[in-house]
Amino acid sequence: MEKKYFIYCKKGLDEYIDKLEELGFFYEKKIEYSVLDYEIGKFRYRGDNFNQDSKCLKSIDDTIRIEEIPIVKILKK
Amino acid sequence: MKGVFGYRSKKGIVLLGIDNKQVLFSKDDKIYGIQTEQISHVNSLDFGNYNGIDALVASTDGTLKRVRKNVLISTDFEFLGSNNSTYILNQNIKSNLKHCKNIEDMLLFLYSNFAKGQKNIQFGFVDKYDAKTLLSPGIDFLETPDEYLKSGKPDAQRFSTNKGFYDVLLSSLEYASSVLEKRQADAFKKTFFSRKTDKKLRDAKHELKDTILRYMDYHNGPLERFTIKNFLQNKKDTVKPTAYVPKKRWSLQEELDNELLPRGQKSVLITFKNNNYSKKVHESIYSLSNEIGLAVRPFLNLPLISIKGDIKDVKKFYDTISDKKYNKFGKQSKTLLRDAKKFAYSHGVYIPELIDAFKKGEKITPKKIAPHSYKKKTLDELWNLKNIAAGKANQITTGDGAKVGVVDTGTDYTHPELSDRFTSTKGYDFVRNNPDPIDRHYHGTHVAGTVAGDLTGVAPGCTLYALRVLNSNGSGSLDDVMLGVDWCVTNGLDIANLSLGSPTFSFIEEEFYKEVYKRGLTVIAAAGNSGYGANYPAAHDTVISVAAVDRFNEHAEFSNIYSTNVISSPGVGILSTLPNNDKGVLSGTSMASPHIAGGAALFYSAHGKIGQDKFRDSLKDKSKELGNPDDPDNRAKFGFGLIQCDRLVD
Repeated sequence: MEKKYFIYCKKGLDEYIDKLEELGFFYEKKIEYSVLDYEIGKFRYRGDNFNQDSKCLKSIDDTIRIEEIPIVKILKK
Repeated sequence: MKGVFGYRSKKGIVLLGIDNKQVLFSKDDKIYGIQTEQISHVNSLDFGNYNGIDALVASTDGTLKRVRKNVLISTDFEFLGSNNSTYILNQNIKSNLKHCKNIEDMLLFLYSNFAKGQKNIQFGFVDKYDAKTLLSPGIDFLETPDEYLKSGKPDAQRFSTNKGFYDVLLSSLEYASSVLEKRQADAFKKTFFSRKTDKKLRDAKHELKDTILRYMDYHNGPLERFTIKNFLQNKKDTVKPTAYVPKKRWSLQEELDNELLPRGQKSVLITFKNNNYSKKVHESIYSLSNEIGLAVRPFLNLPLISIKGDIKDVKKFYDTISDKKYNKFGKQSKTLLRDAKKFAYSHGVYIPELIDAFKKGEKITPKKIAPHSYKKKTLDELWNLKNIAAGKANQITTGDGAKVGVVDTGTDYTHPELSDRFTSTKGYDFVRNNPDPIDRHYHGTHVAGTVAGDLTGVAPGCTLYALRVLNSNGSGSLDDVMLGVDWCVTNGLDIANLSLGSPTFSFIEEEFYKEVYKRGLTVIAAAGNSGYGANYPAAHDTVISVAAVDRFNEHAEFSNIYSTNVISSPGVGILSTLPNNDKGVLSGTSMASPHIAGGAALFYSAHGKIGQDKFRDSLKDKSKELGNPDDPDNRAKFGFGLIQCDRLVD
């Protein structure tokens, strides 16, 4: 099952995109929020839940953080 | 030319047909054709007891008769392959083939594939001796049979496409759509109205009853806008809109004691729990109602009765059937009387229409409130604005100068009640990435109407911006929601309303809303509809979480009880705007949140943009305390209580 993830780190995102794609993360787009001072990458990942503590991800950079992007829904009863 | 097969469509008879030598079709008055050689033996398919399609044959003399032929449809281009001028079936795509037992099946199959965006459909007739392609995409074929036959190139046209036919096919799909719907209706009717009383049927009846009840609002009338299709599919989430009906139902005596029944001319729906409710009882009630001069309408085959009238009429009916002299229901009278005491009340205005249409397999069309009666009705139905004293507050300010972003499914900014709230910048559509945030659902328009609708809004003087972050199904991705809120920050808005959420916590979202708070945007969000627990973004500390109450200021049972709740507002049976100049009733914490967003607009309009902390303090000091203070869950249920707009603007 395909899920989408935020991936962000203190350093710039561009230099990690290739490495992340090697790990199976498909780069979708870069998101820049005016209120946050770092770049966030939106990635797709096909498979089971990605282990956030995955060593291979940490091996890229210790500061990298990843979390699944939640689906948001209207709250009409 | 011996004849052709076909079927009737809205555009007349569509002829698909074939004899052993010719494939033909008809469009308008012309008949086009192609001659094929006989195709070699096809032995790869087992037709079993398959009878083939039921089709019409049109002869050149103009007569029609019914015949049966096999139809084979494939979504694969390789349906028929060529091998040394001999056609054989491609074995590899067998799984993509579908046998159709009749013309409707064929149409439905085509329709479903077209609906999925699959346009590359090839189909033809197959029997145990041959197969013929009738349609395949890619090549124009516009010759008449005579011209074609004279050209002497039949081989080249074996895979020819009848492009003109394609249009006819598309038009026939509309017909297929209606067939699909009618079939579902028929199937459901057959099951439901059967007199069998097995468990499955009982469950189906209960399901129907529950579904009907879901469409009725407790006191504010039934809901508009749903189709028989949605109803039959019982997709709660796609029916629009739905309403909340509390699980607790008042007994008649409680209704009378508490004067809870509406006093105006109403249609009251009474349900009986008696599964053995029979036609005889219906007839008895019907004759009884004539005797006592009441407009009582029993539904055959359904344990429902509707009464047109007011509370006195209902009481009269109740007293009458309780009276022994009218005890003409035979053995069933005891059950009837027992069940009658368990009346469930609500408006039943649309229920008779629903049932009638249901029996006929028709679509239910929304019943709009007549313009001349609307203002009168709203005075009574907009109890939500009364309860939060929005009218009083509007005498001081209507929210002028405050800018509110509705981060939702978009908004119908052309709605007459909302259009004046928008400037030339309507907002932004982050789903389609364009500056036109028109509502392709209905939720965002309803929410915007509660914030600032002319009649239905808390702050009808504020400026609105629509940020479309949820798709036409009402769902979306958190990153788009955050982009919508970010737009509110960068465009200098004061308030963002988020009638949406997810139970999943996100660190980055938390960090985001902390920064948003620092930038001065007040974010109001719905507490959630799952009854208990956190719902984000409402549960973030820097967001104002809004719980829902009903018209009696009781906790709405769906509203999440959670420690981060800040404030309560009405969220059950809220009348507001819907797209296409419509109005309707919806429930949910989604409906509660915009009351607070409107309240915040009034607050900032009256006091200037003095910050979210001041607004929170005012909510704490000036709200109406709700519930039982001794209840340990009270704060988690209601927050500071019910917002009182008049006190906020003082």
